[in-house]
Amino acid sequence: MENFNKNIFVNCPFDKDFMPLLKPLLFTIMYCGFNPRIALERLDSGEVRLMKIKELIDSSKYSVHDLSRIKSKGKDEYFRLNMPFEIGLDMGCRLYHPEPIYRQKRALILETEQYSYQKALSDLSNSDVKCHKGEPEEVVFEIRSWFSELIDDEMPGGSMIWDDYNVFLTDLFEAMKQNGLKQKDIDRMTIAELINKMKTWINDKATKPNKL
Amino acid sequence: MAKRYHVTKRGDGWAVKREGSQKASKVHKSKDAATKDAQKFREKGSDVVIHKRDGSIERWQKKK
Repeated sequence: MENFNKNIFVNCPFDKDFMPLLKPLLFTIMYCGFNPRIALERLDSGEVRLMKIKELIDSSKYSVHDLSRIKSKGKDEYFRLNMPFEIGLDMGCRLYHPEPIYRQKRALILETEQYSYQKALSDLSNSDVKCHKGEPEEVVFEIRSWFSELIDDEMPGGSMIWDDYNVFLTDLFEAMKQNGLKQKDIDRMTIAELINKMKTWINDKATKPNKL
Repeated sequence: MAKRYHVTKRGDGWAVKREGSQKASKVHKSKDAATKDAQKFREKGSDVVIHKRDGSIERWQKKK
């Protein structure tokens, strides 16, 4: 299985409000040397979504699940069930897959308010749960600290990752501007494009001053 | 390319930091205070990039 030990299945909301958290989450994963696998990485309308999710889960040793949308904010608003459903698939793969390698799977659960998951999904007690309070900077620190607990390799500091994420966005803004594009073009960039830009920047960062 | 100083969210405050430097030159309680403090670097020929809470660019002040 190619890159199984480096792949991280990202199970999170894709709405506009979550983008400020999703982007630093993806950046941190790549900065720490891992490979995010996310349903938005490829857009193929002919692909059955559940089979796509299955492939992402099958190919990933690690997973990050964000339960920020487990609680509806207003009257008549539906809470989102995709994330809990996909946690279930991921946990099921770990527990029931006939291949022993899947017993090595590890998952991180993120939430906005501490312990809110226990009220809605108490079966997940004793899981790795971290709270980001809806702050992009906290996402970076929480993902980074989870990696440092899991892996022996030395991880870059959370402050360094956050500062470099800000520099990456500056370089991206400058590069887009030079091509006649605007901030709204960056905002509308697909996740697949953004992942590629992040990968390039992170790989080149140490050696080249103009990174994009 | 001019040196760049960044005003970014840092915990409960806002940091002013030269790009590539290990440490922030100062962390302020408010974004306004950090933005004001960063102007001294602009006077000395650096660009100042002011970020939003999510890291995206709010303003890019070119060197004076």
